[in-house]
Amino acid sequence: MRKINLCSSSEGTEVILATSSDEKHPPENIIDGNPETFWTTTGMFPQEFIICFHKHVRIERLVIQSYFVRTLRIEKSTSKEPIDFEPWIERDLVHKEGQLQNEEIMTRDGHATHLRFIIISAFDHFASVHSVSAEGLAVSNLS
Amino acid sequence: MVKLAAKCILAGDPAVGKTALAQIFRSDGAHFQKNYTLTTGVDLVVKTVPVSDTGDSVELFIFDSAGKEMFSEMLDKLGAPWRPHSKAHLPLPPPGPSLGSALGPAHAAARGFSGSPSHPHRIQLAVPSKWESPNVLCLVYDVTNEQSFTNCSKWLEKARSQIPDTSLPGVLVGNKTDLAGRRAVDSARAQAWALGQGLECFETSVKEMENYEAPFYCLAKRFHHLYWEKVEVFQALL
Repeated sequence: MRKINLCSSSEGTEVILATSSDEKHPPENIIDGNPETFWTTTGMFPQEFIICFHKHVRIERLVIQSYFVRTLRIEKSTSKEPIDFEPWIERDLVHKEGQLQNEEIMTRDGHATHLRFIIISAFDHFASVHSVSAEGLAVSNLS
Repeated sequence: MVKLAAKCILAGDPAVGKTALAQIFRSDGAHFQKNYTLTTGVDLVVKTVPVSDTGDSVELFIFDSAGKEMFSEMLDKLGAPWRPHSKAHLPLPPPGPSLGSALGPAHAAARGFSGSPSHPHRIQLAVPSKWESPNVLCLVYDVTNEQSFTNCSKWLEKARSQIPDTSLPGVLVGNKTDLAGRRAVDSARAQAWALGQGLECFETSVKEMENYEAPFYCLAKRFHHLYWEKVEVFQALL
């Protein structure tokens, strides 16, 4: 089995929920493989989005590119449906003016079918997420 | 098309008409409360406001609370060690030590923890959540009450200190213009102060249902403008 970017729309991955939506900057931009496109939050925190892999995966490394995100919490689920999320990772990010945040996380216990990203707080009224990639293995299809 | 969401703090002295303003805005002028009641908890008014010349809109979450904020302001002052930046600018006279020791533990106990008066930083927990992470500010005073106008700088300071490195769009609203004979703050003076603070200035009579929408439409427009500025920043990152 080869390691791939599991968070890619070309792998069949989808963003199935986002609490903010500007049709010019939709949540699909997070997983389109292009960091120039982004999803914006449209006011008030927390804000969240849920990524569905449509299969069982094991994630070894996560990279999140964003701007103005302060506290990020990531939960995961191993259910067929987007339910029973459990706490997984929480990070306080650093803000540098004019510089995209590039948060790399080596993960443990990365079995998942869904990931839920919650932006708890931000450095400004709005934040953007430019890409999420998850390196790892596709384990099995959903039964 | 985008629908933004903004937390709007309604701030100002007690009895200037904050609740009346929020309620009349909520009900499109159908409701003016004749009897004054002191707001003791926090009321939330949610209303969607269109942004003119765009298909966009802003959902305003208006947090209204009153009266007891004066009380929390005193606690802020007592608890100064944990927020030094708000200490120097408060125009309130310093409360005596007897007030401090009387309020501190009583208030702490009311919140269900055993704070001791010798640890004033614990009082931080008593600051109402209304003030957390504001997006826009609606500052209200009573045009017949000089003190309510001069206290606006204190309310502004308090709101801005919540998000120290971020701009906070705001409006200044002089209410009760129907009481023309009792006016104590003239428009030009309010205008000049507002301009210096980067606030847009309005006068209203909630009682006569005059001009009560304009401040909220202005806040929506300014928040919307801020959004587009940030989107341009996001676009310029790569």
